[in-house]
This record gives sequence, C-alpha cells and structure tokens, in this order.
Amino acid sequence: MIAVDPLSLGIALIATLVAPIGVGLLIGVDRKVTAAVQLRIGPPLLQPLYDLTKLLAKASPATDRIVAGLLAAHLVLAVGALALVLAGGDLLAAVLVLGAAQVLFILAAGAVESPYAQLGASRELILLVAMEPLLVLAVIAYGVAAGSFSTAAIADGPSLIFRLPTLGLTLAVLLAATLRKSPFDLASSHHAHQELVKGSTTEMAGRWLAVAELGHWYEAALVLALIVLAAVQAPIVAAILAAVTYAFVVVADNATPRATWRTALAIAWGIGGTAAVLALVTAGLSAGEGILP
Amino acid sequence: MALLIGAPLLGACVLALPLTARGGRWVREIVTSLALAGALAGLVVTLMTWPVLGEATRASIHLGPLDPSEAAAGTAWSLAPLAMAALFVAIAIRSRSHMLLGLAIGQIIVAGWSATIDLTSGEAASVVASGPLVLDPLAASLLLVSVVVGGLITIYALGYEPDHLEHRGQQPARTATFLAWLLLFVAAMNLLVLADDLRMLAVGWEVTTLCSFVLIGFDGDRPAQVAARRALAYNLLGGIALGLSILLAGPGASLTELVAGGEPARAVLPLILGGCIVAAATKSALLPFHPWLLGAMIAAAPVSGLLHASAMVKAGTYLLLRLAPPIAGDGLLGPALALLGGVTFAVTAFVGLRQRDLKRILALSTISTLGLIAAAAGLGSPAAVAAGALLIVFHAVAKALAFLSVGSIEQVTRTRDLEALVGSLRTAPRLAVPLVVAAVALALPPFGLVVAKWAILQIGARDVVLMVFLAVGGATYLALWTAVVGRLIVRRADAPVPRAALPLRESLPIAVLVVGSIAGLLVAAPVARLLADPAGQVAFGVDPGLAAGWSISLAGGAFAVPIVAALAAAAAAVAVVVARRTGRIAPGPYLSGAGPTRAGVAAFHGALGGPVAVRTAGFYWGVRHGRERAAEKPGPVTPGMAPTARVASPAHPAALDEDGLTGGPWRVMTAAGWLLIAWVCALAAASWLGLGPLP
Repeated sequence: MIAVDPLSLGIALIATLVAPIGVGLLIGVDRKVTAAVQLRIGPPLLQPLYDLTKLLAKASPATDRIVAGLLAAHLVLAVGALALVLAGGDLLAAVLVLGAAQVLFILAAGAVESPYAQLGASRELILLVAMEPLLVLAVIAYGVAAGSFSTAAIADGPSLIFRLPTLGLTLAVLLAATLRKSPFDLASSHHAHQELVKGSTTEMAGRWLAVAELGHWYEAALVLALIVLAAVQAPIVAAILAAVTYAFVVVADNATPRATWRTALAIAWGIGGTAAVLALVTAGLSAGEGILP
Repeated sequence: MALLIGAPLLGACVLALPLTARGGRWVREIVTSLALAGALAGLVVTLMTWPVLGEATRASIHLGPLDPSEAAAGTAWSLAPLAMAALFVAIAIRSRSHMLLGLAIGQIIVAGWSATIDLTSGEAASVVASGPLVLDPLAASLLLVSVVVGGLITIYALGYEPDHLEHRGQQPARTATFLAWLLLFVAAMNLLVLADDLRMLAVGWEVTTLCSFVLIGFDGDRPAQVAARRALAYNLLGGIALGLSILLAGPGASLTELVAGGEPARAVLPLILGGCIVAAATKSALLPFHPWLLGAMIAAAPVSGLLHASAMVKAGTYLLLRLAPPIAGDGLLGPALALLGGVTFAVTAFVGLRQRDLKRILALSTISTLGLIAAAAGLGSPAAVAAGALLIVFHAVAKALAFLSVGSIEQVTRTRDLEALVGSLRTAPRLAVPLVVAAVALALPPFGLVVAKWAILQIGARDVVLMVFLAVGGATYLALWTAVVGRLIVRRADAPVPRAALPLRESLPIAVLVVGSIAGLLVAAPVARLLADPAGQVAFGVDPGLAAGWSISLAGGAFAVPIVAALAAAAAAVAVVVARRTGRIAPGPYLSGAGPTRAGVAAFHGALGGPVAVRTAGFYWGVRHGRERAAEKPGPVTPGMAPTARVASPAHPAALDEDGLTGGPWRVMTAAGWLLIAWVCALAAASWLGLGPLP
C-alpha cells in the first residue's frame, strides 16, 4: 500500500463532504442557463440546494423498508466511490464501486410494484448498460495514457487533456447522463418533456427522495472529478473546452425531448463510445514511458 | 494421491453395485460420505506431502505400478482413449444418431492412430522420465475446487435427487446410480487436473464427457436425452480436436513439454495449440459451442452445479491457463484467444439479459465468465494467468451456490421462471437470500470475481478491441444480475408464499457456500498469495505479485480490497439499520390516482368499469412477452416503451424453452462464434506455416 499522508486524506475527506454543494451550484447554473435559452428568468442559483434541504427536513415515512435501506446504502457507496478518487486511490476500482452504487439505486427503484417505478427501474437498467462501459473505457484511457490507474499518479503526471483529445465528448455524455439531461432523463426527468416524468423515483418522497438525489449528485461529482483530473494542469484550455462541451449538452438537452431509450443508447455508444475508443487508440499511441505491461 | 482419485472412484463402484442400490438411503449416504471424506483426506495428504500452496513449485508424481513408464500400464494408458472412443461408438449406435456415430468414429480413428503410433514406436514408455502427474499451484486450485465444491454439490444431491426423481416419475432408488456418476465425475476431474501425460489427460477428458452425457440424460425423458446427445456431440468434436493435438504431439508427450516447446512438438506447436483451444472451447462452451451447456440446463441441479462450478467447463479453461505461455508466445493465437474470450464474455451476457429462465441466466453468466478466463489466458502474462486462476476459484464457489439455491427454489416452487418468483426475497427469504448472496458475489466489488475482473481490465488495457468487449460485457453482466435480484426483491401483495423447508442435506451445503461466497469479500489477496500468484510464477517464472497485504496490486494500480470491503460492509450495515428503523408500513403502490385496490392488490379502473389488476414484469432486452398475452386477454399495458412495458405471464415451460434460443440475436451469436473459431484455426495454420511472428 502507498503510504497515506494524513493531511491530504483530511483534504480528501472535506472535499468529499462539500462535493454535493459544488454539484448543486452546477445544477443551479445549469437551470439559469437553460431558463435563459428558453427566455425565462429561472430559479435562484441556490434553488437545487434549497430543494434538497427542504426535502431533507420533511418528515415523510419511507414507503418500504427495503427501499429505504437500499437508498441509504446507495448513498454510502456513491460517497465512498468519490472518496476513493479524491484520496488518490485506484480510478478503475472507484468506477466499479460507483457501478455497485447505481445497482443499489436500480433495485430500490423497482422494489415497489408501481408500474411507473417498474418502468423507471427498467430504464435505469438500460442507462446502466449505456453508461457503465463509457465510464470504464474513459478510465482505461486515462490509465493507459498516464501509465497508472492510481488517481494520485495521474494527477501528478502531465495533463491528459492534450493526449486524449476525444475523451472530452465521452465525459460530456457521462456528465449529461449523471445530471439527467435529455435524452438520459428517460427514467426520471426533471422536466415535463419526457413522457415518464418521475419513473424510478416514483415511490420515494421527502427525505428518502433527498437521499436518492444526494447519491446521484455524488455520481455526478465523480464524473466531475474525472474531468478535473484530466484538466487540472491546463485550466484555461480546460475551461474553454468545458464551456464548449456544456453548450453542446444544453443544446442536446433542449433538442431531444421525448427521446426513446434507443436514442439514448445510440448517443451514448455512438458518440461517447466512439470518442472513448478513439481516445484509447490515441492513448495507446502516445503512452511511451508508461509502466503498464 | 491415490485417495484423491481412488476414493471417489471406489465410492462410485460401490454405489453402482446392485446391492448398494437396493440398500436404501442410509447405505448410499454412508458410502457417498466415506468416498467424499476419502477424497478430502487425499487432498489434505497430497497438499501436505507436496506443499505447493503459496510455493511456486511443481511436484512430479509417479504412480507406481500404474505409471505409464511401466510396460503393461503404458500399453493400457495408450489404449484407454481408444476404449473410451469405442464406448462412444456404442452409445452412438444405441441412440441411433448418425451425427453422433460420425463423430464417434472420427474419434476412434484419431485415438486408434494415436495408440498405434504409441505402441509401435516403443517411445511412449521410455520418454516419460518425470512423473506422469504434476501437482502445481494451478492444479491445486482446480483440485480444491473439484473436491471441496464438488463434494458439497454431491452432499446436496443426497437430499435433492430422491425428491427430484420422484417428481420426474422415476424410482428414487436410482439415486445411488446418480451419486455413482457424480463421484466418477469428481474422480475424472481430479485425474484430468493432475495429468501431465497427454494420454492420461485424454482419459480424464473423455470420462468427464461420458459422465456429463449420462448425467444430463439421467431423467430419461425425451428432452433430457436430446440435451444429453447434444452435449455428447459437441464434446466429441472437442475430443477429436484434443485427439488430433495429442497425435501431433507424438508418443509420450506431456503438457510440460508442450509448455516448454520441446523439440518433437516444436514444428507443429501452433497446430497443437489450435487443437487444444478448440477442445477447450467445446468443453468450456465458449461461443460457437455454447448450445450444449444451455441444453444441459434441463438436468437436475447437482448436475448443473457440477458442470458449471467445479468440473467440466472448468477443465477447458484450466487447459487454456495451463497452455497460456506457449499460446501467448505464439503472437497470433494469444490475441485470437483473447478476442474469442472477450466476444464470448460480452455476447452471452447480452443474451442472458433476454432470459427469464433462472437456470438459463445462470448458464449464460457462466459462459460469460469462462470467456473472461479465456481472455486472461489469451493475454498470457503472469498476472493474467494469476487473475484467471482467481476467477476459477471464486466463480466455482459463487456459481455452485447459485445453482444449488436455484435448485432448491425450483424444488419448492416447481418453477424457475423469474416472473413467477417475483417477490420471493420477501415471501421466502430462506430460499432467495442464498441466490442474492451468489449474485452479489458474482457481480459487485470487492468480491474476488470483480477484483479479478478489475485486474484483467488493467492487464489488457492496451488491447483496445478486447477492452471494448470487456467494458460492454462487464456492464451487461452487472445489469443481468441487477435484473435478476430486482425481480426477487419486488413487493407484490399477492405473491405466492411457498413452503420453505429444506432438508439438512440441502441447506448445509448451501450454508457453507454462502459463508464461502461472503468470505470472497475479503480473501482475494490471500487466495492470490496461496494459489494464483504461484500459478502465474510456475507458468512464466516471474512472480505476478498480485497479492500485496490484503490488497491486489498491479503495475498500474492497486485494488484496496480492505477499504472497499469496509465500505461495502458499512453500506450493508447502514442498509440494515435503516430498514430496521423504518416502520413496517406498506401503502399500495402509486398508480397516478385512486384505484379500486382490494386486499392489497392494486388495480386500475378498466374501460368497462371493472377493476383491472396491475401487473408489471421485469426487463428482458428486446423480448416482448407482453404482446401475445395482451392479444389473448385484453389487459392493462403499462405506459411506455417496447422493451419495458409488458404484462407478466404465468410460468409456461414451452415459452421458456423458446425464448432467446431462436431468432436474430441467437443466430448472430452462433455465427460470430464460428467465425472466431475459424479465425483461431486459420491463425494456428498461418503460424505453423511460418506466416506469423514465431518467437
């Protein structure tokens, strides 16, 4: 085992704890921008955080004990996956843990036999099949390019943003999916433009909905951490790329209402997957001094 | 050593005696227990005599008077494959199948030719200077799996089989014969794993083929016989491939020589390896050869467990891992094998997502994992072989648990249709929890299987094509088990409550395997240190160094098993505490408005004023169960998209047999498999002709 520095571990812990605030702010900005695109004023910047705290404060009983247990476990695993990354652990292991967290959420979604929840759980399953390979491929591209899968080693190495130029698209698709942007909102949408608005979260209310939401925020935080990891050495280029990618995601969000799961899969694998494979090829070509076998 | 093969063999012989068969329950239970205890004692003594656990050593073992270097025994071992082939010809004639007859005659020709060369050259007896059996860490892993897991499955069969036979309208007294074949299976597997001499390997190989044929067809009805013949046909094909490899390797050749690239075999080595890959692919039911294993699902649960978890299919991947150094050294065959494994891994997981027959889901997930092991063998680095060995061990425990628990579920509920078992985690936790434990151990980190999968992903990271298949396959495999557990966990008010009392002979092996599967949470590194790392080191002479403390480490990173295990334990503890503190309230499911709910069963208002019960079903990729049912009986169709919205149907065996085994995806899968095998054969030929990069 690598010797763990208590200071950096403490920083990782604090970063893990405050990560949802960052995601909440990002969603707030996103809602503002989307509102501007649609010529609305939109909610206050902090609205997502207000929503979450309000949900947390509600004293609503869980509809089912197993659902409650699974949601809590989902949150624990999602937090743990992010903590693994921030503490400099193995990136691929963190992604596998995140996959486990998503599995627990899907189980919670489908554990009560509301037809809407069942439908949502089925669609969550499709999203898992669509997104998990992208996450794994993206991380493998990181590992091959950096010569190591350890987050600490990747962060210390040269910037990956120039070595994996196409991976940005994969990460954009992943971010769109974890933030439930259309067309990846077909299991549970924030907007009425999907024909199934609350699918997987149908049977969750009050603080249990907040726990589920918080878990999703941590999933988004992990994808954000991946983006930061590639871009941290070249912040200006990264900021420009992020702005461009974000514009792309917003346009996609507003251009793909009522998309079917086939569209979601086609976009995920067609755009994200192709970009990830290209990134793997470029990573293999550029990785010279890597220590991988 | 003698006990390891002899005890189950003797037990099988005693059980096969008519006197024992008539002796009743206690006689057969005592004989079986003694045989298993003997095998276990043999294993312990063997591992104490030749300490290979944790040591990268190989022990050559002589067999005394049975040693092939003795004149009479050598002749017998040379003739044994021929005798087996003759037996297969007899079976083919009896079952009046032209295809079987053709394959069996093909095998007898190959075996006869091989035996003639052996006996006329006189070389066979003299060449084997080292012992004909070799015990090394890889063999020890397989022995542990075969004896311990195989033994537990046999104990389970003591409780399961009489009831099963009775249900099928057979004499429960046939249980003794059944047990005899199980024990013979274990003995043959032990011989196969220990054999270094290729003739002895062939004998073990063919006896497992014979045992699987008999056991699959043991119920005697028409579907069982068809499945048994199909299994025999595929395995005869593999037997011919193995026979040709042995023929090419020349008299008295051994696995050690093949791995070392010994002089007699040097020129034709690619062809030998190609033959072995084809043989292993048939045994392990890799892609084009998968139909036999899916057909074999008709057999009783212990047979499926033995085929999938501890013997048979593991024999193929064992041979691949054993031959990994020359295969990887060939330059062409290694990547081809990795591709075959990767495609098998992804495609079978996808087809599994279409199934609702629990046993078929298990079968497809087994083939998927075997594909991953084959891919590890194809990658052929020390760490890859070690990861492959880890996969074999952890998969054996978890998959045996899965098969036995599904067997018990089927025995109690008389169905294995996932849609008929909705909610059984709530109504019959004793039955369903073991299956959920197996699913978790198979699919979630940091259980040994997933850690090994993690290692293979990192080892093969440079192989872009393989990575795409592994990434997609890994996600689909995860989704497959999520879908299974997702059905078991649903709260359904009118779910049937089965009687849940299992005999001790069934619940004991299941309990042991549950404990073993849960232990997989933490023991990846110790198992790697004892078995997998030494196996990789013996194969390549380089320590793979997977085990680092309690973690698994590679050059590119480390899987901190204890930290992730602590996380998993914390998540489980939180889940339990939250579930306990949550009130036992159960409101009806949300229906977007008030429905005429009666006795907890949710319903919509129908168009004609009457209540229409709400029924939902699980996710089966691209299969539309609901359509035909909806046409039969107008019912509510849940709003939404094609693959998800459908109405559940009662268990219907015929429908189960049709689903997914026909149609486009199935044909594409089979065609892709044959293309890949043709590719492997072509590469073997190309490598032999010197077209490829031979080292």
